[in-house]
Amino acid sequence: MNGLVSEPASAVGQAGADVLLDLVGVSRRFGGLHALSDITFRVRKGEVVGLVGSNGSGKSTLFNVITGIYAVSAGRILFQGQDLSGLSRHTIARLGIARTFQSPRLFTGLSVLENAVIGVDAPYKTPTLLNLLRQLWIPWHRYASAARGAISACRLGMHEDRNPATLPYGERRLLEVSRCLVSSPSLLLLDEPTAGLSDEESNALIRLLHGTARDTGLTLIVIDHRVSFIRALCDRLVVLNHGELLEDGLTAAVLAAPHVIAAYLGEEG
Amino acid sequence: MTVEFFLYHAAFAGIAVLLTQSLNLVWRVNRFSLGHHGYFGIGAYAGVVFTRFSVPDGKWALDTWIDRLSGAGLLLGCIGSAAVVTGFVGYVTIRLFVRLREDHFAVATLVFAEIVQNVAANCTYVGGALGFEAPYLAVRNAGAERLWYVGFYASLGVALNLLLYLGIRRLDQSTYGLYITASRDDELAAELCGVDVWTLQRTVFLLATAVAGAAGALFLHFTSLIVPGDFSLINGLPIILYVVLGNLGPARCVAAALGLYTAYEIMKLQFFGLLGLELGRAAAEWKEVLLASVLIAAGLLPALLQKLRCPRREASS
Repeated sequence: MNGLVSEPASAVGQAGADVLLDLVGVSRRFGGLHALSDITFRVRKGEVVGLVGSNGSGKSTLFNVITGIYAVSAGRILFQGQDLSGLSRHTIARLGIARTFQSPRLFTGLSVLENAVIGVDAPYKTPTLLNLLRQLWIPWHRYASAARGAISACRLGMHEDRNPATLPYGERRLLEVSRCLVSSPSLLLLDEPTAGLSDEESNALIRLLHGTARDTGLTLIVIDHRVSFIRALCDRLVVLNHGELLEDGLTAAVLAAPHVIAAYLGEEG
Repeated sequence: MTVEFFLYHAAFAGIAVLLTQSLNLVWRVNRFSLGHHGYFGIGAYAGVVFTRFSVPDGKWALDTWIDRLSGAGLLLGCIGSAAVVTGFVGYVTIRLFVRLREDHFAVATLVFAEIVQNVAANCTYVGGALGFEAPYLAVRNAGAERLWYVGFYASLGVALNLLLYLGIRRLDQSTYGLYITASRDDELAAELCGVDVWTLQRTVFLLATAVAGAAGALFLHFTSLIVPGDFSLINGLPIILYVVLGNLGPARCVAAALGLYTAYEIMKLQFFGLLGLELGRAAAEWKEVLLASVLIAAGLLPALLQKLRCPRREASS
């Protein structure tokens, strides 16, 4: 890391009590390929952090490692002080980490509303035999009001009975975001949320995310290639380059740093 | 054809529909089992063990109403205990096959079913290759009572199927129904929404194998003679076919099972024979070929329909 703009990040790291996510020397290898090498940074509660880098720099892999899709090869990931290594994916999700994907992964056998209901943190979510017998007497509609709130906030309320496969691409993305928001996560990982969205939809998404972060204290880590979106949404940027941490600091300073421009934005940027 | 004939087939169809509904549940959680007939066999042989313990001399007196009522109770106990034993075996096997997915899981369950059949053929306690003859517990299958006998088992089959169908409907209306569909569509996304997909699969497999076991015990006491060959793949194939044709819809599977069972039996009947055709005998002799052909056709049909629906898009692409 260059260190030119890393001061704010270090200051962030010192506030130990309100650290939500703490990555300590996280590495992930695929055979001889080092997808992530010794990544260390912290995210405070309520922060909006942008994760940028060129294609193949390890951004999505980092999300996959945090959410338990891949195990770390070395290092530790602490969420609210709890080590995530060895935890199953659904356990990590229930701790309060939600995520979206580069291509929306929706349940096409369910309606828009039902997709959102899946995200609701319903009691007895572990389907043991006893829980299943209990849950038989509770129709899923009981959890629909929370889901309706989230899909309305994403302006999908009029589509609640539609199959998500029939929605335009941008609305499918928004549905995935609303499915995450309905679970009231502490940390939301957004993987290229504006891909396929118009400028108007992107602005609406920024307003929604800002509003949710302000009202609920939601912490966001956002991967996106649209600099305008990142600039408008994020307080802080973490830049990855070939699986290594290139820079970590305040958004404006990082975007102006010459080595970040050279590695990620390009000289014209 | 008599009422007795229809009830006889209704009882068999009831057992087939029970198996279809339970296999459909397994497939709905992305566990492609091809060895469901093995669990059917385990249920039947668990029923044999229960019956041998309860009726050591192999004869149950049916002289008084009390005898008949206690026999019916014993039959229900046999079905229940077969369900419990088979559910337990199902739970253990899915835990053993934890790392196997899709076709690997299918092959593992198929091999498991073959093992069940071979163990049964070599175990003299459950009758070995010669089979086991179960005593009549509630109604006698002889003389004037025969109509009551087939009626009793047909009613039992209908009642169990109705209970299971309503239970599945209830499940589908709960959040667990949504979890099942979500995990079938995208296991990873469901897990990242907090759904414990592995526990869901285990639980559903346990329930489905328990139902197959109950069907096995019902089959044992209805036919009153079982041989290991009753639980071979060739006898399990129609169930797979019904689920494929039902396309994982609970009601569609029941309809497919009833429809195909009836169609096949009609072919076997000499309806066509009356017209001078030998289709009845041919249908019985070529059963395996017929089933395999329908299974292949069922696999090809959706793609064919898709092609017929949007020929332009296909052509342009």
